[in-house]
Amino acid sequence: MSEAGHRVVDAPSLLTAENLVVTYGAIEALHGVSLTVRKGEVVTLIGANGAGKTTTLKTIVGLLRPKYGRVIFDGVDVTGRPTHEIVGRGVALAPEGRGIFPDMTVLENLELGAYRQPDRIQFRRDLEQVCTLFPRVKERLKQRAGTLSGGEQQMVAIGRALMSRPSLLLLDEPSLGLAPLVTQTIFDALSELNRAGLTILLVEQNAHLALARSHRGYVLETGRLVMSGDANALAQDARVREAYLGQ
Amino acid sequence: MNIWKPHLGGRSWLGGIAVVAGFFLLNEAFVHGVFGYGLSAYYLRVITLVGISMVLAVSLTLVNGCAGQFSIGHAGFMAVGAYASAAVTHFGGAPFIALLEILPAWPVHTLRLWVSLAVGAAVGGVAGWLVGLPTLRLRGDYLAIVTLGFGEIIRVVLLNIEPTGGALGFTNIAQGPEVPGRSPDQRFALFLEETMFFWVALVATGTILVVGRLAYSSFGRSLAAIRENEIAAAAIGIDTTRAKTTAFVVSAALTGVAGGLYAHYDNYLNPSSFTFLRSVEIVTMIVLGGLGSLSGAIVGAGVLTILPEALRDLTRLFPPSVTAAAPFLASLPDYRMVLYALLLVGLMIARPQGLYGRREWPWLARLFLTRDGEKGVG
Repeated sequence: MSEAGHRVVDAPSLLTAENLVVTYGAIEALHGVSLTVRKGEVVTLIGANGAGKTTTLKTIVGLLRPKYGRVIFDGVDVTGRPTHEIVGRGVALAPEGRGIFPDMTVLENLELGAYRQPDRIQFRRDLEQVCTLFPRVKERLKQRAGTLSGGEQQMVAIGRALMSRPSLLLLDEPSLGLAPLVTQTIFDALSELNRAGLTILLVEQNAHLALARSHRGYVLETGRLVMSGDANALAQDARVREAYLGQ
Repeated sequence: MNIWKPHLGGRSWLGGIAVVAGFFLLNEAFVHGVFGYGLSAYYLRVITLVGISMVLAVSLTLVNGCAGQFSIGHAGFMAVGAYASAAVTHFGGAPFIALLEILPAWPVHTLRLWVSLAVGAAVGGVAGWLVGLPTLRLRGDYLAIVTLGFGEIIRVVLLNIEPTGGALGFTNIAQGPEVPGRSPDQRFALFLEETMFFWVALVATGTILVVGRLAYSSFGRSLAAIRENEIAAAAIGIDTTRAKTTAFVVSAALTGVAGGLYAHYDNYLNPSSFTFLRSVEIVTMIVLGGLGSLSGAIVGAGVLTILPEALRDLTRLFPPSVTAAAPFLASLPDYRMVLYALLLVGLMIARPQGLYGRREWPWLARLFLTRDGEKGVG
């Protein structure tokens, strides 16, 4: 039923995380997480609070350094590389809690998303695309980002991530604190981006919605992957339904 | 990012010459007087110290204001720059004194001052790099702790270095070491005495321009992004460690120049001038003016340097008949530091965001904007 439609089973892998072990001081947050995202896929990582979803994303993008394990993006081992280098290779992260720059205008936020984009013409084109994707953002370009509603801020965060022209978009709980209708809008936009060819790795607590819009999913429990597979199958799975879908 | 490229149209060099000439004439007027009206040495001193404070405050703005980091040890960088440039002047005078035999005096003295100031900048910058590199890799308050420690370490080290006077202070900087049986060479010291206002004004203007151009460049934007959300800044591809370190090194180098100016102005240095209180004073200037605002830093430096002096003159506010009737008014200047503190507290209650917040004087901001009127991106 995945709305993203087409199957991408045979596509080559864009991101591979192998056996990631990540510690915060003495506490081990990930006990060996391995996952794969293929080109063109939408993959969801679901799990309860504290399961290690954000930690996984932060490790992939180099904000955290794994104790063991490897991160391979687009055929290159980027384990332990600095974040700006990984971002430069085509990974973009819309961080948890949206992470916009509140004292800057929406336009300035988007401009900073294009920090590594030297081409002004390309910049204008990308800006136009973000504005088409999120008309609400276009209306508020001159407004201070901190004064926007939560949904609008999330749109800005995604738009800013897109401005770096990523091949892989990492999203940390895009539905956090948003009204259901706004969440729908955001997921519609994500599906549209995916249809246009963008690969997306999504972390969500709203498992129902996320799985409905994904090709595949992983279930993370206290730092371990406990289940993985086709998003439809996961959504039907009795244990997942009980634990994450409240059914 | 090209911070040197002028964006004021083709005639910016004309403005530059006008400013330099203006400062020169002001210096002449202040030092020698015009038509018999001069500026007392005391007022000239306050004005010159305001200029040095501006260099300190504006360069700290780059770190504490633009990048949102928190350095509370800039007195340490000032001390390092002051002692380094003073040492070069004091011990390295011989070649310049030899040059005086074949060249006119003022170019030689000018060169000597600038060599010393350049050394002050270099040593300040290197110190900033050494302190910044390990600490700026981390997020959070580590910089404050380390810079605080650095400032104190430098002060204690200077107290114990004998060649630069130790606790007695570094005297006769411009005259050079005492040679028995020969009277000291006063020429450089006299030159400094007569021209320091000019040099301070020039350096202050240059500092404002450099920091302003940086703050309004794409580099400045990346600092602002780090200030507002460091994780998001990294996530959009900013090398946060490098940006922070660059800002810190530039700031420390400019602070080192301010130290060099201070050393050459007083012709005397003492480690006790560079206590933690000095660092706090610089931080207070930019917080009072508005963190992140260059206009604020400039005004803050002026207010905090002039205020303690102005409060000395409080009794003049009242005619003698009044002070005779209420003798405690005559002793008001004794309480000037209390009043100073109360004024600061009052100001921060009235304007917690500082005098200017993040805003700038429009004419000043115009100097920094790129030609197409946009703040540089990418």
